[in-house]
Amino acid sequence: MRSSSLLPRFRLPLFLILIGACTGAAQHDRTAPTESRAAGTGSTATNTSVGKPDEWLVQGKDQALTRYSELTEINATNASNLKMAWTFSTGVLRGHEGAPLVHDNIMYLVSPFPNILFALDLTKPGAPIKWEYHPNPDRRAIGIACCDVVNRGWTFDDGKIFYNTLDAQTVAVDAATGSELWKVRVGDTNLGETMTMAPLVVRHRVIVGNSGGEMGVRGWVVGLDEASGKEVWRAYNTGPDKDVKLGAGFHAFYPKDRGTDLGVSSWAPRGYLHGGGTAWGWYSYDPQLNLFYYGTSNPGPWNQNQRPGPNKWTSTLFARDPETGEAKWATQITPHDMWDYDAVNEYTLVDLPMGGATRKVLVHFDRNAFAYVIDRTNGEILSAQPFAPLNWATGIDLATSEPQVVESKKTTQGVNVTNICPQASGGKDQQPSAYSPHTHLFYVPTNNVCMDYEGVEASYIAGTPYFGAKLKTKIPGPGGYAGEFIAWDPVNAKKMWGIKEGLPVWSGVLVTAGDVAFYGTLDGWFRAVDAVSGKVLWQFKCGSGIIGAPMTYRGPDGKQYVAILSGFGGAPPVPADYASHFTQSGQLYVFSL
Amino acid sequence: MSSLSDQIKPAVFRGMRPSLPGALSTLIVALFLVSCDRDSSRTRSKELPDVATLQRIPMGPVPGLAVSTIKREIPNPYSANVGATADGQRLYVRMNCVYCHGWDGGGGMGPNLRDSVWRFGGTDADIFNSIYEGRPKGMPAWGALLPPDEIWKLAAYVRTLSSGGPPEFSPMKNMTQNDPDEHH
Amino acid sequence: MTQMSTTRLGTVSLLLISLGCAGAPSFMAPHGAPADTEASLGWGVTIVAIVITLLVFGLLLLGLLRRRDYDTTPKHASNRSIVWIMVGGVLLPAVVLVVVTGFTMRTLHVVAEPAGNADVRVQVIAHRWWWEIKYLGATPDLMVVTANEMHIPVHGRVHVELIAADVIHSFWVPQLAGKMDVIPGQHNTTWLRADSAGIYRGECAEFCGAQHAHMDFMVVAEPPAAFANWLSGQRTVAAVPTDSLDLAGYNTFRVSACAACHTIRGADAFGKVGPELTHLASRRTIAAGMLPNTRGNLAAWIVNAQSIKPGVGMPALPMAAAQEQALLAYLSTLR
Repeated sequence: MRSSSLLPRFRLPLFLILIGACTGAAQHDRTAPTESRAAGTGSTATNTSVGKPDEWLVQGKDQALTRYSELTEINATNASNLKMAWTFSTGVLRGHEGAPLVHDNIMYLVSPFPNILFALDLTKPGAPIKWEYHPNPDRRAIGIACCDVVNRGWTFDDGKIFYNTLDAQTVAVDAATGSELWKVRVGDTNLGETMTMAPLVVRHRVIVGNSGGEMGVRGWVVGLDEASGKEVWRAYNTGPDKDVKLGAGFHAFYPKDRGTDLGVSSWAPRGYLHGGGTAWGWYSYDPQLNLFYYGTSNPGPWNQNQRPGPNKWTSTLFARDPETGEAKWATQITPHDMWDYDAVNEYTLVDLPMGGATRKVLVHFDRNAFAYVIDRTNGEILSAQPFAPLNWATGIDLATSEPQVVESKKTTQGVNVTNICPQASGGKDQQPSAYSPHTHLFYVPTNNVCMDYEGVEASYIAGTPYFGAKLKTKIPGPGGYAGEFIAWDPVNAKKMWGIKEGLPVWSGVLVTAGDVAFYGTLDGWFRAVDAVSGKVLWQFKCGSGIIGAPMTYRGPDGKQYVAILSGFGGAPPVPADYASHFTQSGQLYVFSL
Repeated sequence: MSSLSDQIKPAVFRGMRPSLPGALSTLIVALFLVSCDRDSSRTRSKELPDVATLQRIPMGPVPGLAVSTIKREIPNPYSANVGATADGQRLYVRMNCVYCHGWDGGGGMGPNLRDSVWRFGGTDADIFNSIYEGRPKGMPAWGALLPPDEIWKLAAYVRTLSSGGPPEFSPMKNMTQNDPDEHH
Repeated sequence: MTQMSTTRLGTVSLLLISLGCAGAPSFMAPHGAPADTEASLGWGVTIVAIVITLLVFGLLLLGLLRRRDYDTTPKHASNRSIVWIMVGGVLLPAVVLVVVTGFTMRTLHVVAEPAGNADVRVQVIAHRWWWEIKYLGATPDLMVVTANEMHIPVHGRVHVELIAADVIHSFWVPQLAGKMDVIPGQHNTTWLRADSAGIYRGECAEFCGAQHAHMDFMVVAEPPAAFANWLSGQRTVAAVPTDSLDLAGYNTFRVSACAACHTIRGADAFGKVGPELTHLASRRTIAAGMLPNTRGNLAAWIVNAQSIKPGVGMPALPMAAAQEQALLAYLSTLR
């Protein structure tokens, strides 16, 4: 996982991820308008939508993770008239990630630790609290969470809200009353496991994964029964095929990913037991193929000399069956990752014209700063081009999927390797991008930060970091900017336009059918941008840096609203004097015309 | 590049009959080593305090009228011992303290150790107890793993951090100064 | 190569060069490559030096015995004395130096590691003050890690990669190869080949701190079959004990300081500070060649290593007798 850090110190990132989409029982009330708008070549043809356009039920808006809303009341011509409608404070001063959900005129949001779930009544003026739910997580989890005590998202399905607590429990709460339906422990904080990802709920399974790649944990994904919380399956991301659930149905596209028990033989003896490969990012789901997609985190420890071999299945993209957990295929994105380039970033499902035919693909902006287009039926990489400054590799060999690594940028124990770009937090971290089937463009928050990196021999001691690296962050990166909000054409692998920022762009993105894209900055600006031209249409200065994800909904009054959480945290790389200029917060801002 | 000591080593340390040059070299090296030993961590100022006594030191005030008879000021037997502090620094890295509290002690996942804020008290005994017993938000109880002697060395090093210069910046550092669970 | 280690001359020169350690392994008595070539050079240069020394001292003695009476009259050098100077002071040293240089160059050429794949590849990591030894396998999970005891097959060429964990050390097995420094951040390699089975002592040959003198290791050269057997044995994972005393020791190891610093594959101990202990009981010595690996020595080492080897990374670990007995019982199962 990542870390980002700037300093040597804190570095641990971990986490997870999430997202989800709901399906299953929620299917009946879908209006599925997406397809009709998906005219043209770059559309999302598979129906992955969740809920009505007026609502926002899962973090990615749909199971494809497009973060695209059909609402058009706010559009490129009137966005400059946006005004604040109301605000809400969570009372917690830590990093606020995730997007609020709206269903049936109730807004749901979960604070960072202590992970309080708030239900706000949108039918009343000022949206007062309807109820709160307190899971009371174990405070010991605070000190083992690498990258602040964030919660990356919560998921609605079938009248329930599902989310993870920092101390590695998954809860289901009645969305109407706030009463706890079940709460199960899926990870062990004594081993350094925490949970921060947003669950994926499909096919009566609540699918969650652990964080703790900096703590020597062994990554896994678990399928829980949606009704009871009972564990149905558990798939590890390292170790023997049996544990990883690589059975007869598993067919990797690339020869390098084929073989028996690669999750054991690609590690030093027993190294896989503490090898990371956690699953703290975003999960997408294709109902037609009945596969869900997620990426695994960095291998542990960061000191690569302690773990010779490709370290399977870390920094790897998996496609699994949500009901059984069995893997259908896997493609290792960054073999033997020695820079903390986890593969956890979102895999957005779209159908694109690639090489003359429409292909079912997923588009992925990896931490390693390459934008991948991958065939989601089999794991074949169709294209991989840099979307942010990088110097660790000269390219990705599409025949083998192997990165062509630059020798002088390989990290080594005892050697301070300087100026590696991107930094450990990547050309883009977990902060999720958005895709508009209207413009056929991706809207991507990116970073431009480099690092010096020295491997250090590390001992595994349960409950302490298993890290082994000294990092020095160089911010900004080449060109004098630290982040850029870009529009990316996935078919031609080309940046259409970009807005350079003095700090990494660390918020999620929302794009609407009104051709407006929204994002936030670490210095607290929330911006509306013309999705076609990249012109800033409107901006508002929030109380603290923005690491949350914007969402939009139609209120009971028929108006369209846009909401964003403000509250600096997580573990973005920022300059040394950042804290002299900005403070923390935990505030929800809601805007309308 | 064999050095002087390489050559004399067999004579000096293996019980062989030393030659004259060997003996002279040995003497020089021995003097050198002896001079180094002044800072050695193996020399501590006094006996180690009794752990059971340390464990009776309360973290907060003592209720009631009775004045506490517990002596809170138990000095670190290694305080100002440069050799022991260096040993403590090695432990700070090897026991993974560094990855929570920072290479320079400036904090990260764990609290900043370079400032003057001591959440659980800043006396030598408090620092020892914080390491020995662990603390509620993820600080492990090292008493189960490390002998008291090593914990005192670690405490000696931690003490030196708080008098250091400005730490390298970490955004986590500032965030760890507030309590996310004070919400309740 | 010349083998004349029993001669008196040899003994005398040995003493002069190594400052007196008869009985210690001598580079003048090699048992394999590349030490044999180096020893030839050593012997050759030594003999030349002795001959020249005898010659010079002989002439000096002659001069003393044949000294003339005191005479203040200035003299011009005679032709005869110029011949002495030209031959003895210029020509002879030039010839000797050229010959020795040529010999040295040839030796340097010959001792270079031959091209082609070695039979065994070993990584040696020098720590203060012990040696970590890694055998890389076909896949990473076949790697074997041990300490202070390097096994090699007789007649097999062993490629050694040298890595320094902290300060500069030097890797030296006098009977098998010359010294090669181990320098932080520098990628040095050397190679070995033992021509006869046996145990050859190695040591650190670059001062690296207080316990530099106690940083030894041994090279165990054994027939290829025995070596293969040893290697596969080292790959096995330590079993969880069934005997109650052993089991108590196993648990002590895992929950006490031990596991924070040492690795035992099979006990979920992944410490990297001290030597790997998965097959501790199979080793001949502890504390980097300082003590025979006996139960008594091990007990003393655990309880108070600082009194045995002051400054070593192993802390004093006072523990209850019963607890230590259990720990020793468990450690003795790690064969």
